[in-house]
Amino acid sequence: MRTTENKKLQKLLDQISVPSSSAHFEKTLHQDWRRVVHQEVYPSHRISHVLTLAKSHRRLTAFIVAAAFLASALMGQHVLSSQEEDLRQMDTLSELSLSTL
Amino acid sequence: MSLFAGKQYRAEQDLLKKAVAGDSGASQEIIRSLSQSAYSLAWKMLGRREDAEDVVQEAFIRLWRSAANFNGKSALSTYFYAIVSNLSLDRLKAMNKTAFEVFDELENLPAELVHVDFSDTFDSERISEAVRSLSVKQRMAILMWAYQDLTAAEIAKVMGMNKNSVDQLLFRAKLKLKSELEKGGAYADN
Repeated sequence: MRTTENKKLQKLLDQISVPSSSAHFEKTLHQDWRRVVHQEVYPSHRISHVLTLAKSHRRLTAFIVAAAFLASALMGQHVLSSQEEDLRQMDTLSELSLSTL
Repeated sequence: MSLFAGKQYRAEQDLLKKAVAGDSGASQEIIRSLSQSAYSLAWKMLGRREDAEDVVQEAFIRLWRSAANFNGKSALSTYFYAIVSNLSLDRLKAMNKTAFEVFDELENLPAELVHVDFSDTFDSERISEAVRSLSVKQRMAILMWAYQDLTAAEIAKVMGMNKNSVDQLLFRAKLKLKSELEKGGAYADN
């Protein structure tokens, strides 16, 4: 019932003569689209650009973040263990020097 | 939603995604298919070419920016008409604040229960005059009702009113349209 009434009403309203849009209307719309897409895809700000790229390549971004996290964890572990090794060597040296005295 | 319609909506969603990703052909197709009908709807709401063009221009910018929100569960035109209606409504409120705030008397008359037969043929000028004779809110409500197939509750949400007021608006708009069309000597009173 509602659909039939709507169709009739729409048909009636469609008969209203609407003045045509200006000559370059569609061209203007297309220019707007270019501007928006250019801003979104190629933002002027470097950080925004990186963020946009990150948004459009989510899997790659997740992989890079995970790899960076893993690398920094391994590096941290390496630094800590090498520090421990250095301390141990210093202890040994000092013990040796004490014993020679 | 029929299988065919679902397929068509998803194709429109893909087309929009392509346009937003920078595909010029896809954007041209969308602009070509939506711009004239949207302009026509905006003109019927606003009554001025410049305003209608501005609204459609702004609506397209919003469409490109909010493309991710289009889920392909309805026609792209329905989604776009909703943007056009909202922007027209904002413009009407800004242009004619007092006229928009005039409150119609409340009566509990659900729009679904009022059926007016608009099947007779009338000339274009008489229909325009009849539509112009409606109040701003009545015009908005009847255009959303007819073109977007929205329920009274949905129109109420868009217009920031309650459902009963929209039912009342639609009821009055239909009756006024009918009486103006039947009268023959339709006139504008706003």
